Amino acid sequence: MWIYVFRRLVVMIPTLFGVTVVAFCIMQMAPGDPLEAQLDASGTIGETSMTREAYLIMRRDLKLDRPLLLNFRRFHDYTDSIRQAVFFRGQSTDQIQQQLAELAAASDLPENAARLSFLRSLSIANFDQMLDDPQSHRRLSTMITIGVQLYLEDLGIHGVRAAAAVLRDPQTSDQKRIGAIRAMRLMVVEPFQTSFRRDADPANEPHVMKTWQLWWQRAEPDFPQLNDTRRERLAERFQAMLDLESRSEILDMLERFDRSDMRFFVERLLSDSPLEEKVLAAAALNLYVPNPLRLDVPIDATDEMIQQAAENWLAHYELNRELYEPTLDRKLGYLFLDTQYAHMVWRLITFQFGRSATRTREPVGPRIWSAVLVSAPLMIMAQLIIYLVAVPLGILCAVNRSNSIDRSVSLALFVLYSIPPFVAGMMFLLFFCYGIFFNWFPSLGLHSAGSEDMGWGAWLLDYLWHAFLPVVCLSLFSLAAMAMYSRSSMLEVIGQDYVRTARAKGLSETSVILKHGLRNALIPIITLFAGFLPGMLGGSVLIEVIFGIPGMGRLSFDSILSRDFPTLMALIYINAIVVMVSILLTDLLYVVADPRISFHGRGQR
Amino acid sequence: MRISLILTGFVLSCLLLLTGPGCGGGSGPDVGSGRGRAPDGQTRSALLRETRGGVMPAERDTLLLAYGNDTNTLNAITASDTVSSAFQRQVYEGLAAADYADPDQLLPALAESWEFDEETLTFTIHLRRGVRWHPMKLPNGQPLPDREFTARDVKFTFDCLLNPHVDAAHLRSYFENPDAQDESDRFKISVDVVDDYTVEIRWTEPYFLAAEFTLGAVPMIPRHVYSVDEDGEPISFDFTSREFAEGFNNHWANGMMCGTGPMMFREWSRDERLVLDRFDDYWGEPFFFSQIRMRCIPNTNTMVQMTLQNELDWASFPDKDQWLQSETNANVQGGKVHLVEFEYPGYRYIGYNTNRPVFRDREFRLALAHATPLQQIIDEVFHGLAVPVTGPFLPGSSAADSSIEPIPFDLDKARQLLDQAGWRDSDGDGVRDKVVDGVRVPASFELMIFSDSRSFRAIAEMIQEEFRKIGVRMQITPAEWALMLDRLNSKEFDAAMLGWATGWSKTDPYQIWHGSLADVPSSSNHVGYSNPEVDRLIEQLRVTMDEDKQQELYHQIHRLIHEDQPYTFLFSEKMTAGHDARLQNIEFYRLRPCIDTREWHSSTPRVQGR
Repeated sequence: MWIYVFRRLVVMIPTLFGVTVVAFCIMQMAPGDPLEAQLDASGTIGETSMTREAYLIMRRDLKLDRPLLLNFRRFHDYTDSIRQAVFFRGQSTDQIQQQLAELAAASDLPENAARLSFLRSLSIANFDQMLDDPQSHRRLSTMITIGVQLYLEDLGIHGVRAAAAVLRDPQTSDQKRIGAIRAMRLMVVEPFQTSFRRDADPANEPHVMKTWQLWWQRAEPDFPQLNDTRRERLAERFQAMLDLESRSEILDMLERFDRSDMRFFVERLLSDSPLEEKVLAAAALNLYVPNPLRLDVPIDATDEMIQQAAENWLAHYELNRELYEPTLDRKLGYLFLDTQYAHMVWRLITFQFGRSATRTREPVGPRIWSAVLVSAPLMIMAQLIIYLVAVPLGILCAVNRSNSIDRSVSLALFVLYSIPPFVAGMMFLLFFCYGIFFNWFPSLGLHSAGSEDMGWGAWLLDYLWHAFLPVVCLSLFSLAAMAMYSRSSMLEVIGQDYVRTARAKGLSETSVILKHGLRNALIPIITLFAGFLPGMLGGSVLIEVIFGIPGMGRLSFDSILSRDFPTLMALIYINAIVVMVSILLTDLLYVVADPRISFHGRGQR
Repeated sequence: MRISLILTGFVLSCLLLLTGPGCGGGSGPDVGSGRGRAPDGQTRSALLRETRGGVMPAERDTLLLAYGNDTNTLNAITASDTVSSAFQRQVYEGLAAADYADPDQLLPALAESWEFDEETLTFTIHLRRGVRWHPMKLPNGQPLPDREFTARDVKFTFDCLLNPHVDAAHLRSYFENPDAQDESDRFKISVDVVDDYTVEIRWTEPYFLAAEFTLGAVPMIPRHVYSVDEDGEPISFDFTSREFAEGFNNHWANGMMCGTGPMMFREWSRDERLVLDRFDDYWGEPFFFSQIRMRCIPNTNTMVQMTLQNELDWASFPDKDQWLQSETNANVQGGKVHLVEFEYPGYRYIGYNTNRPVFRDREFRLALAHATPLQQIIDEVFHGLAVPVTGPFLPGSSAADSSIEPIPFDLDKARQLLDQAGWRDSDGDGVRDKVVDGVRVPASFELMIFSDSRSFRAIAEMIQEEFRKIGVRMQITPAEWALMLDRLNSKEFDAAMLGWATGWSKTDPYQIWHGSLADVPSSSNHVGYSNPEVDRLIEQLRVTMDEDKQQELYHQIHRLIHEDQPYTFLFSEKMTAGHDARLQNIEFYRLRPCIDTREWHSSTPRVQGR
């Protein structure tokens, strides 16, 4: 038997894999960008650079910019298309408009042909028609600007190597250098670190130091030498800050320095001081010198601007050379592992469901758990009612086969079976809650207002009073099905030889039915028991919405509507596991309940 | 202010994300009477002062309200849906707030007074003294020190929302400079603390809504709460850093509220209820009710029935038919429940994608407007509970040119216009056509509507029938909201019936109407409207500080857009609601949310609602 269980568990892995692939594909195909919904439909093109950058960072954090299944980007050489992108990125829309006139006039020149094929690759609707019509060149140039922006953003770090080569080449014209800098700005988010994070990582040290080194090279003349008394005073205060335990006190002290003291902090940061001193020094610099490095330039940038920005970007490239020029084995690793699907599977395997994509950003796990705690008791109650009512009803029908009792009960069951639970819910609300006919039950939620202050007895009664109608709705449908099932199961048993034998022994009819009949008839019914586990977790969407119950059904419904993919994926995954476990459980229950069935001959084969 | 795309009638949680903060502040604080300031050392009690409604507050009385879908967060800076703004209205305050009676006027709130220097474009803001933050506890139960509201909180609030990684794009967009070439000029404002009670906010360029945005749009949040983590230590030393933003977006207090308003947070049970208690130490006119209890009721039928059973004090009835039917309810007849209707800022329209050849002619769009039976729609679908709209600004507001008449329903005129523009039925299939750019284009298009709304469907069918009569074929395509947005953003649609939730009068038309956004994917100008004259007027409006000139420009823009008809402007739907008869002094205003609960009082207290 254990071998069988083990086999089943092994089979679960590919099944789960399949479930995740299907869910993944459906989510990919669902319309709407989940991130855009989160960012209030902004972070869109045409918004300001900042919001746009935040959007891109979020996208990269969630790995949504990666290819879906296989990542070939590390193998591709982007030199040619980056050259074109840089060319257009360095021009204003007016300049692009002029270029378009030239392109349209002489599309055969090899240089122009390359430009055109790049522009066509941006998939602008009606590109060729618009190119032929000088009237629409103005619009087309806007579209090209946006298209190039999107292309560069999508390409991300993969285009950096080619752009850095353009920037490094002494032959490059100023306009192309501007274009390359502006392209870099789009491809790389957060190129420099200006301070340490809270749990300071020594690996960041060279990055932070490089930032301030670059800044200091240019800014030093603006900061006069500090005299000895001031320096001493600063050293004292710095030491006092280091000795403080509370971060809020440190922050208060940090805010009491002056911009002219920065020379002191630069010296501390760039010398061989221990990491904790560097952390504080960087924090101070960061506070008093916002945006130390120029990373972006306008189209009409001055030579000095270009020079500075180019130096900064090349420094960034040098610092991160490993990232931009990976070795072959790394490239191969990226090929399979740096994809959206691989990242998602990894999160699922490690049960890191992450945080909800909605604004609270609360962890998904606890939220699901609290919803389970609401839904599960309702489902358990519903199951109890189903078994307690359906089995006796089934027996009653079977015993009175084909007479008026059987007929009328069966008819009632059919009627129940054909009423969808949510219709029943609406009818119940209308008849018993809204006070139009009766006002017997509350129409909303599982607790009264003020139930927090009740004693446990009153609380329980209050709960049962609220739960009554939802539970009835949840049980009606399955109740009918289960009663039918037990009726037929009982009928089958009654026709068996051993029942006839029992009767022949002269046992009373009650004893025959309950002792000999029911026991055997229950076997198939008991095994159905495992099937309700997924239901318990899944809750019921419609009933929970109708009665205002914050359970699993509502959670799934709301997650779908708000495109909360982390929550949704976790729900699907957990449900898939529960379904498979319950199927396994059903199999095991069969063996336990019915000695005629065994795993022998299946497990050993 | 900022305008957001909405679908009234059927409110889904995903839509709420798109519904902006509505009108600035909205927290409706009191006229700077100074009555709230207590002499030092004396405890203030809310019970000793009159409410805004002019009566003494109730000792114990609970106001029962309801909401349909829960909000995602209670963080005042990152929340952007209408439900959370309803939660926050009595808890958070801005520096100033628009006057309910005259929405173009700002009234002092947390700022006692301010000056604006037109030379330097600087607001010098003098903060009210003696304003206390609501008491707050860390998750470990340790209470945070009781703090006064100071200039540091103002600076902190602006630091947070200007941090690009904080989820506050809807507020940040007020202050961002779209033409920024450099990291240093990314924002149109800079905030400087002068002393504990004085702040200077400087704009880098003139902007006509500068006062509204600076003073009215931003709710103030407490630095001593939102700058610290669960252990009470600062999240980061730099409030503009990504590290801080991550801590802020995932903040432990995102499920609580801590403001300066008349009500303070008591508990929020997700998908169940939100409870607010009266804040005794409030500086201004106290709230009449000692508690507000809002219940989450996703089933609108239940919400309506509970209101009719006096189990809720106030609820809006989104379904007009239901509202009308409720008139026969025994409790309404018996005077225990009152039904009310009031105007609400926002309008519905049919937008035409002007990139499609069929919509290129102004005459064609005008003919469609003439063939739209607007009055019939208002009478039959909305039972008269809607007001026709003639342009992008709402009827009755100072921005709308009231001399413009709605386009009359006139099929003959429509036919005539189509004939003039060269739309004729040349192949005899009952549908007109015309040669555009050498291609024969039939007068046929798809109208995209929201699939879950009955009223949208009914309107679309009525219009379809009339269009057929003038030889224009319209196919109705219901779409789910996300799909609809997707197609709007990529401009892959012919026509769409939608709604805008606008501010009452002063809104910036740039977002929807400026031609520079016409070809930009995902912009609000999804119909691709571009008129150089309108562009010029909008640009001029944005730098005009004089109110009379602003109004003149608004009127010109209104008229030009009305003449161009890029939309068929439909109507502004009225809001319908019901309330318990015990509520007194309910007035309606044009400023969202159109009611001011701070004026309300009750005849009989409700001590504990069911």
